[in-house]
Amino acid sequence: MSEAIGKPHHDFGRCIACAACAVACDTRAIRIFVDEEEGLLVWTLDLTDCTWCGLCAQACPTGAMGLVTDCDFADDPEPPKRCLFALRECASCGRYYATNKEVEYANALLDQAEHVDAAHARLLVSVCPDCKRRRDAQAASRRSGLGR
Amino acid sequence: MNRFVVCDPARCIGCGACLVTCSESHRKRWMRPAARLSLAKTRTVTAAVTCHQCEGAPCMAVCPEEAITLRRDHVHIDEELCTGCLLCALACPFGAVYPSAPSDAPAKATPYGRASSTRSSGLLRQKETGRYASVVACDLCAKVPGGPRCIVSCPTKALSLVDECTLTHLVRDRRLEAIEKAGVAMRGAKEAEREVPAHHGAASAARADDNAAAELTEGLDAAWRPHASWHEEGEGQ
Repeated sequence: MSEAIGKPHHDFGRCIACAACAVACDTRAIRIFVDEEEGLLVWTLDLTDCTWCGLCAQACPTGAMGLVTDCDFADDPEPPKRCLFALRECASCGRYYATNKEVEYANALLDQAEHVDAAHARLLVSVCPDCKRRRDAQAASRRSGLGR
Repeated sequence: MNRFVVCDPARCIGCGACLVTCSESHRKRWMRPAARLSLAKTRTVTAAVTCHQCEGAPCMAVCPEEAITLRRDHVHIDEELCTGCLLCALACPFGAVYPSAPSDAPAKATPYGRASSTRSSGLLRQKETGRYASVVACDLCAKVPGGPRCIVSCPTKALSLVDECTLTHLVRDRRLEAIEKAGVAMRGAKEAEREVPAHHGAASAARADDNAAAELTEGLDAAWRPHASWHEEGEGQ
Protein backbone atom coordinates (compact mmCIF):
# COMPACT_ATOMS: atom_id res chain seq x y z
CA MET A 1 0.00 0.00 0.00
CA SER A 2 1.40 3.35 -0.98
CA GLU A 3 1.71 6.13 1.61
CA ALA A 4 -0.96 8.76 2.21
CA ILE A 5 -0.66 11.57 -0.34
CA GLY A 6 -3.87 13.52 -0.01
CA LYS A 7 -7.61 13.35 0.42
CA PRO A 8 -9.39 12.78 -2.88
CA HIS A 9 -11.63 15.60 -4.04
CA HIS A 10 -14.16 14.94 -6.77
CA ASP A 11 -15.27 17.58 -9.27
CA PHE A 12 -18.60 16.50 -10.75
CA GLY A 13 -18.41 19.04 -13.57
CA ARG A 14 -15.28 17.54 -15.08
CA CYS A 15 -16.02 13.88 -14.31
CA ILE A 16 -17.16 11.80 -17.27
CA ALA A 17 -17.70 8.59 -15.25
CA CYS A 18 -15.14 6.64 -17.26
CA ALA A 19 -14.51 4.40 -14.21
CA ALA A 20 -10.71 4.73 -14.38
CA CYS A 21 -10.67 5.78 -10.69
CA ALA A 22 -12.86 2.85 -9.67
CA VAL A 23 -10.48 0.51 -11.49
CA ALA A 24 -7.44 2.12 -9.88
CA CYS A 25 -8.90 2.12 -6.34
CA ASP A 26 -7.53 -0.86 -4.41
CA THR A 27 -9.73 -0.46 -1.34
CA ARG A 28 -12.98 -0.06 -3.28
CA ALA A 29 -13.63 3.37 -1.79
CA ILE A 30 -14.72 4.46 -5.26
CA ARG A 31 -17.35 2.25 -6.82
CA ILE A 32 -19.54 2.20 -9.86
CA PHE A 33 -23.06 0.82 -10.11
CA VAL A 34 -25.46 0.72 -12.99
CA ASP A 35 -29.11 1.49 -12.32
CA GLU A 36 -30.87 0.17 -15.38
CA GLU A 37 -34.36 1.04 -14.17
CA GLU A 38 -33.53 4.74 -14.18
CA GLY A 39 -30.86 4.59 -16.90
CA LEU A 40 -28.24 5.95 -14.54
CA LEU A 41 -24.66 5.22 -13.66
CA VAL A 42 -24.02 5.72 -9.96
CA TRP A 43 -20.53 6.80 -8.91
CA THR A 44 -19.84 6.58 -5.16
CA LEU A 45 -16.92 7.72 -3.03
CA ASP A 46 -16.78 6.51 0.57
CA LEU A 47 -13.95 8.26 2.42
CA THR A 48 -14.09 5.80 5.33
CA ASP A 49 -12.56 3.19 3.00
CA CYS A 50 -10.05 5.59 1.47
CA THR A 51 -6.34 5.33 2.29
CA TRP A 52 -5.39 8.61 0.55
CA CYS A 53 -3.11 6.71 -1.82
CA GLY A 54 -3.76 9.14 -4.69
CA LEU A 55 -4.09 6.46 -7.38
CA CYS A 56 -7.49 7.80 -8.45
CA ALA A 57 -6.07 11.24 -9.16
CA GLN A 58 -3.26 9.70 -11.20
CA ALA A 59 -5.68 7.66 -13.26
CA CYS A 60 -8.23 10.41 -13.94
CA PRO A 61 -8.09 11.46 -17.62
CA THR A 62 -9.98 14.76 -17.17
CA GLY A 63 -8.46 16.03 -13.93
CA ALA A 64 -11.76 15.66 -12.07
CA MET A 65 -10.10 13.86 -9.16
CA GLY A 66 -7.89 16.20 -7.19
CA LEU A 67 -5.98 15.71 -3.95
CA VAL A 68 -6.46 17.96 -0.93
CA THR A 69 -3.36 18.06 1.27
CA ASP A 70 -4.23 20.68 3.90
CA CYS A 71 -6.29 18.38 6.12
CA ASP A 72 -5.52 15.55 8.50
CA PHE A 73 -6.09 11.85 7.91
CA ALA A 74 -7.45 11.49 11.47
CA ASP A 75 -10.20 14.11 10.91
CA ASP A 76 -13.78 12.91 10.75
CA PRO A 77 -14.35 11.74 7.18
CA GLU A 78 -16.93 13.46 5.04
CA PRO A 79 -20.16 11.59 4.36
CA PRO A 80 -20.09 9.28 1.34
CA LYS A 81 -20.59 11.04 -1.97
CA ARG A 82 -22.95 9.81 -4.67
CA CYS A 83 -23.02 11.14 -8.21
CA LEU A 84 -25.53 10.20 -10.89
CA PHE A 85 -24.77 10.15 -14.60
CA ALA A 86 -27.31 9.59 -17.36
CA LEU A 87 -26.54 6.59 -19.55
CA ARG A 88 -26.54 6.62 -23.34
CA GLU A 89 -28.45 4.01 -25.30
CA CYS A 90 -26.82 2.43 -28.33
CA ALA A 91 -28.33 3.80 -31.55
CA SER A 92 -28.34 0.32 -33.02
CA CYS A 93 -29.32 -2.15 -30.28
CA GLY A 94 -30.79 0.21 -27.67
CA ARG A 95 -28.70 -1.08 -24.75
CA TYR A 96 -26.85 1.21 -22.36
CA TYR A 97 -23.15 1.35 -23.16
CA ALA A 98 -21.62 4.53 -21.65
CA THR A 99 -22.59 7.76 -19.95
CA ASN A 100 -23.73 10.75 -21.98
CA LYS A 101 -20.85 12.81 -20.68
CA GLU A 102 -18.27 10.25 -21.73
CA VAL A 103 -19.71 10.01 -25.23
CA GLU A 104 -19.70 13.79 -25.57
CA TYR A 105 -16.12 13.95 -24.30
CA ALA A 106 -15.02 11.35 -26.87
CA ASN A 107 -16.87 13.30 -29.58
CA ALA A 108 -15.10 16.53 -28.65
CA LEU A 109 -11.70 14.80 -28.78
CA LEU A 110 -12.47 13.21 -32.14
CA ASP A 111 -13.61 16.57 -33.55
CA GLN A 112 -10.17 17.96 -32.80
CA ALA A 113 -8.45 15.16 -34.70
CA GLU A 114 -8.42 15.94 -38.41
CA HIS A 115 -7.79 12.59 -40.04
CA VAL A 116 -10.51 10.86 -42.09
CA ASP A 117 -10.41 7.87 -39.75
CA ALA A 118 -11.32 10.14 -36.84
CA ALA A 119 -14.33 11.42 -38.78
CA HIS A 120 -15.35 7.81 -39.40
CA ALA A 121 -15.03 7.05 -35.71
CA ARG A 122 -17.00 10.20 -34.89
CA LEU A 123 -19.95 8.87 -36.92
CA LEU A 124 -19.98 5.62 -34.98
CA VAL A 125 -19.60 6.88 -31.40
CA SER A 126 -23.36 6.59 -30.89
CA VAL A 127 -23.13 2.83 -31.47
CA CYS A 128 -21.92 0.41 -28.79
CA PRO A 129 -18.71 -1.62 -29.39
CA ASP A 130 -20.67 -4.87 -29.63
CA CYS A 131 -22.75 -3.50 -32.48
CA LYS A 132 -19.65 -2.07 -34.17
CA ARG A 133 -18.14 -5.54 -34.22
CA ARG A 134 -21.30 -6.95 -35.71
CA ARG A 135 -21.30 -4.23 -38.36
CA ASP A 136 -17.70 -4.95 -39.21
CA ALA A 137 -18.50 -8.65 -39.65
CA GLN A 138 -21.43 -7.83 -41.91
CA ALA A 139 -19.30 -5.46 -43.97
CA ALA A 140 -16.69 -8.20 -44.35
CA SER A 141 -19.37 -10.62 -45.50
CA ARG A 142 -20.60 -8.13 -48.12
CA ARG A 143 -17.04 -7.69 -49.37
CA SER A 144 -16.40 -11.40 -49.69
CA GLY A 145 -19.86 -11.91 -51.18
CA LEU A 146 -18.97 -9.71 -54.16
CA GLY A 147 -16.22 -12.03 -55.34
CA ARG A 148 -18.46 -15.09 -55.53
CA MET B 1 -0.85 1.90 -46.02
CA ASN B 2 -0.94 -0.15 -42.87
CA ARG B 3 -1.36 -3.89 -42.89
CA PHE B 4 -4.05 -5.64 -40.92
CA VAL B 5 -5.66 -9.03 -40.42
CA VAL B 6 -8.95 -9.60 -42.22
CA CYS B 7 -11.41 -12.45 -41.93
CA ASP B 8 -13.32 -14.09 -44.78
CA PRO B 9 -16.78 -14.77 -43.27
CA ALA B 10 -17.49 -17.29 -46.03
CA ARG B 11 -14.74 -19.47 -44.54
CA CYS B 12 -14.95 -18.64 -40.83
CA ILE B 13 -16.71 -21.33 -38.80
CA GLY B 14 -16.56 -19.47 -35.49
CA CYS B 15 -14.47 -22.07 -33.66
CA GLY B 16 -12.48 -19.50 -31.67
CA ALA B 17 -9.06 -21.03 -32.29
CA CYS B 18 -7.74 -17.56 -33.19
CA LEU B 19 -8.90 -16.13 -29.84
CA VAL B 20 -7.15 -18.85 -27.86
CA THR B 21 -3.95 -18.61 -29.88
CA CYS B 22 -3.94 -14.81 -29.60
CA SER B 23 -4.28 -14.72 -25.85
CA GLU B 24 -1.81 -17.56 -25.37
CA SER B 25 0.90 -16.17 -27.62
CA HIS B 26 0.71 -12.81 -25.83
CA ARG B 27 0.78 -14.46 -22.40
CA LYS B 28 3.95 -16.31 -23.34
CA ARG B 29 5.58 -12.98 -24.14
CA TRP B 30 4.61 -11.30 -20.89
CA MET B 31 1.71 -9.31 -22.19
CA ARG B 32 -1.85 -9.41 -20.98
CA PRO B 33 -3.42 -12.78 -21.65
CA ALA B 34 -6.45 -11.53 -23.52
CA ALA B 35 -7.64 -12.05 -27.07
CA ARG B 36 -6.97 -9.07 -29.32
CA LEU B 37 -9.72 -10.06 -31.69
CA SER B 38 -13.25 -11.34 -31.15
CA LEU B 39 -15.95 -13.33 -32.84
CA ALA B 40 -19.01 -11.52 -34.09
CA LYS B 41 -21.97 -13.81 -34.63
CA THR B 42 -25.26 -12.83 -36.18
CA ARG B 43 -27.93 -15.02 -37.70
CA THR B 44 -26.30 -14.84 -41.11
CA VAL B 45 -22.64 -14.05 -40.50
CA THR B 46 -19.90 -15.49 -38.33
CA ALA B 47 -16.60 -13.69 -38.50
CA ALA B 48 -13.57 -12.81 -36.43
CA VAL B 49 -13.33 -9.03 -36.19
CA THR B 50 -9.95 -7.40 -35.84
CA CYS B 51 -8.23 -4.07 -35.48
CA HIS B 52 -7.94 -2.26 -38.83
CA GLN B 53 -4.73 -0.46 -37.80
CA CYS B 54 -6.23 2.89 -38.90
CA GLU B 55 -3.64 5.38 -40.08
CA GLY B 56 -5.23 8.27 -38.19
CA ALA B 57 -6.01 5.97 -35.27
CA PRO B 58 -9.04 7.39 -33.39
CA CYS B 59 -8.00 5.43 -30.29
CA MET B 60 -4.70 7.29 -30.31
CA ALA B 61 -6.47 10.64 -30.76
CA VAL B 62 -8.62 10.20 -27.65
CA CYS B 63 -6.08 8.59 -25.30
CA PRO B 64 -5.46 11.02 -22.41
CA GLU B 65 -2.31 9.21 -21.20
CA GLU B 66 -0.70 8.95 -24.64
CA ALA B 67 -0.39 5.25 -24.03
CA ILE B 68 -1.35 4.47 -27.62
CA THR B 69 1.23 5.12 -30.31
CA LEU B 70 1.54 4.26 -33.97
CA ARG B 71 4.58 2.08 -34.47
CA ARG B 72 5.94 1.41 -37.94
CA ASP B 73 2.96 -0.68 -39.09
CA HIS B 74 0.79 -1.28 -36.05
CA VAL B 75 -0.98 0.39 -33.15
CA HIS B 76 1.00 -0.11 -29.96
CA ILE B 77 -0.60 0.14 -26.51
CA ASP B 78 1.66 0.69 -23.53
CA GLU B 79 -0.01 -1.44 -20.87
CA GLU B 80 1.89 0.32 -18.08
CA LEU B 81 0.70 3.80 -19.02
CA CYS B 82 -2.92 2.80 -19.68
CA THR B 83 -5.30 3.62 -16.82
CA GLY B 84 -8.33 1.84 -18.25
CA CYS B 85 -10.57 4.85 -18.91
CA LEU B 86 -11.92 3.03 -21.98
CA LEU B 87 -12.24 6.18 -24.08
CA CYS B 88 -10.41 4.32 -26.84
CA ALA B 89 -12.86 1.43 -26.65
CA LEU B 90 -15.65 3.96 -27.09
CA ALA B 91 -13.96 5.76 -29.99
CA CYS B 92 -12.79 2.72 -31.98
CA PRO B 93 -14.99 2.48 -35.10
CA PHE B 94 -14.64 -1.30 -35.16
CA GLY B 95 -14.98 -2.11 -31.48
CA ALA B 96 -11.53 -3.65 -31.60
CA VAL B 97 -10.12 -2.37 -28.29
CA TYR B 98 -10.68 -4.70 -25.36
CA PRO B 99 -10.37 -4.12 -21.60
CA SER B 100 -8.17 -6.77 -20.09
CA ALA B 101 -6.66 -7.93 -16.82
CA PRO B 102 -4.51 -10.70 -15.47
CA SER B 103 -6.75 -13.63 -14.65
CA ASP B 104 -6.18 -13.20 -10.89
CA ALA B 105 -7.43 -9.59 -10.83
CA PRO B 106 -9.98 -9.01 -8.06
CA ALA B 107 -13.47 -8.13 -9.19
CA LYS B 108 -14.51 -4.72 -7.90
CA ALA B 109 -18.16 -5.74 -7.90
CA THR B 110 -19.98 -9.00 -8.31
CA PRO B 111 -20.32 -9.72 -12.01
CA TYR B 112 -23.90 -9.39 -13.21
CA GLY B 113 -24.77 -8.73 -9.58
CA ARG B 114 -27.04 -5.85 -8.79
CA ALA B 115 -28.69 -4.48 -11.82
CA SER B 116 -26.64 -5.24 -14.91
CA SER B 117 -28.42 -7.43 -17.32
CA THR B 118 -28.92 -7.62 -21.03
CA ARG B 119 -30.01 -3.98 -21.01
CA SER B 120 -26.39 -2.88 -20.68
CA SER B 121 -23.79 -3.72 -23.26
CA GLY B 122 -20.59 -5.58 -22.47
CA LEU B 123 -18.52 -2.45 -22.04
CA LEU B 124 -20.71 -1.11 -19.23
CA ARG B 125 -20.80 -4.44 -17.45
CA GLN B 126 -17.03 -4.64 -17.52
CA LYS B 127 -16.89 -1.15 -16.06
CA GLU B 128 -19.12 -2.19 -13.21
CA THR B 129 -17.05 -5.24 -12.32
CA GLY B 130 -13.79 -3.33 -12.77
CA ARG B 131 -12.08 -6.51 -13.86
CA TYR B 132 -9.42 -4.90 -16.00
CA ALA B 133 -6.37 -2.75 -15.61
CA SER B 134 -5.61 -1.72 -19.16
CA VAL B 135 -6.84 -2.16 -22.68
CA VAL B 136 -5.38 -4.32 -25.42
CA ALA B 137 -5.62 -4.22 -29.20
CA CYS B 138 -4.12 -6.17 -32.07
CA ASP B 139 -0.39 -5.46 -32.46
CA LEU B 140 0.02 -7.87 -35.40
CA CYS B 141 2.08 -10.05 -33.01
CA ALA B 142 4.97 -7.57 -33.26
CA LYS B 143 7.04 -9.56 -30.76
CA VAL B 144 6.49 -12.88 -32.48
CA PRO B 145 8.73 -13.92 -35.34
CA GLY B 146 6.64 -15.15 -38.25
CA GLY B 147 3.74 -12.72 -38.03
CA PRO B 148 0.26 -12.91 -36.51
CA ARG B 149 -0.41 -16.26 -34.83
CA CYS B 150 -4.17 -16.16 -35.48
CA ILE B 151 -3.56 -16.58 -39.21
CA VAL B 152 -1.46 -19.69 -38.61
CA SER B 153 -3.96 -21.15 -36.16
CA CYS B 154 -7.10 -20.79 -38.27
CA PRO B 155 -8.21 -24.29 -39.36
CA THR B 156 -10.20 -23.02 -42.34
CA LYS B 157 -7.69 -20.40 -43.52
CA ALA B 158 -10.27 -17.66 -43.06
CA LEU B 159 -7.81 -15.10 -41.74
CA SER B 160 -5.23 -13.34 -43.87
CA LEU B 161 -2.99 -10.31 -43.73
CA VAL B 162 -4.04 -7.54 -46.11
CA ASP B 163 -1.60 -4.92 -47.36
CA GLU B 164 -1.48 -2.57 -50.32
CA CYS B 165 -0.34 -5.23 -52.80
CA THR B 166 -3.20 -7.60 -51.99
CA LEU B 167 -5.71 -4.78 -52.24
CA THR B 168 -4.43 -3.73 -55.69
CA HIS B 169 -4.82 -7.28 -56.94
CA LEU B 170 -8.32 -7.49 -55.51
CA VAL B 171 -9.39 -4.24 -57.16
CA ARG B 172 -7.96 -5.45 -60.48
CA ASP B 173 -9.86 -8.74 -60.29
CA ARG B 174 -13.11 -6.96 -59.49
CA ARG B 175 -12.67 -4.55 -62.42
CA LEU B 176 -11.93 -7.33 -64.90
CA GLU B 177 -15.00 -9.15 -63.67
CA ALA B 178 -17.18 -6.08 -64.08
CA ILE B 179 -15.88 -5.52 -67.63
CA GLU B 180 -16.63 -9.11 -68.52
CA LYS B 181 -20.15 -8.84 -67.16
CA ALA B 182 -20.78 -5.58 -69.00
CA GLY B 183 -19.49 -7.13 -72.22
CA VAL B 184 -21.78 -10.15 -71.90
CA ALA B 185 -24.80 -7.93 -71.19
CA MET B 186 -24.11 -5.75 -74.23
CA ARG B 187 -23.60 -8.71 -76.54
CA GLY B 188 -26.94 -10.05 -75.32
CA ALA B 189 -28.63 -6.74 -76.07
CA LYS B 190 -27.13 -6.70 -79.56
CA GLU B 191 -28.37 -10.18 -80.36
CA ALA B 192 -31.85 -9.31 -79.15
CA GLU B 193 -31.76 -6.31 -81.46
CA ARG B 194 -30.95 -8.52 -84.47
CA GLU B 195 -33.70 -11.02 -83.72
CA VAL B 196 -36.39 -8.35 -83.52
CA PRO B 197 -35.72 -5.91 -86.39
CA ALA B 198 -36.75 -2.45 -85.24
CA HIS B 199 -36.90 0.82 -87.15
CA HIS B 200 -33.68 2.53 -88.30
CA GLY B 201 -33.22 5.00 -85.50
CA ALA B 202 -33.18 2.39 -82.75
CA ALA B 203 -30.83 0.14 -84.72
CA SER B 204 -28.29 2.88 -85.29
CA ALA B 205 -28.52 3.89 -81.64
CA ALA B 206 -27.84 0.28 -80.68
CA ARG B 207 -24.83 0.23 -83.00
CA ALA B 208 -23.50 3.41 -81.43
CA ASP B 209 -23.93 1.86 -77.98
CA ASP B 210 -22.07 -1.21 -79.15
CA ASN B 211 -19.17 0.86 -80.45
CA ALA B 212 -19.02 2.77 -77.20
CA ALA B 213 -18.94 -0.49 -75.27
CA ALA B 214 -16.13 -1.82 -77.44
CA GLU B 215 -14.14 1.36 -76.90
CA LEU B 216 -14.69 1.19 -73.18
CA THR B 217 -13.51 -2.39 -73.00
CA GLU B 218 -10.46 -1.64 -75.14
CA GLY B 219 -9.62 1.42 -73.10
CA LEU B 220 -9.77 -0.50 -69.83
CA ASP B 221 -7.78 -3.33 -71.36
CA ALA B 222 -5.11 -0.89 -72.43
CA ALA B 223 -5.03 0.55 -68.96
CA TRP B 224 -4.13 -2.85 -67.60
CA ARG B 225 -1.80 -3.88 -70.40
CA PRO B 226 1.42 -2.59 -68.75
CA HIS B 227 1.00 -5.48 -66.34
CA ALA B 228 1.04 -8.14 -69.03
CA SER B 229 1.35 -11.06 -66.63
CA TRP B 230 -1.67 -9.87 -64.64
CA HIS B 231 -3.73 -9.67 -67.80
CA GLU B 232 -3.00 -13.26 -68.71
CA GLU B 233 -3.87 -14.32 -65.21
CA GLY B 234 -7.22 -12.54 -65.52
CA GLU B 235 -7.91 -14.24 -68.84
CA GLY B 236 -7.11 -17.61 -67.37
CA GLN B 237 -9.72 -17.35 -64.64
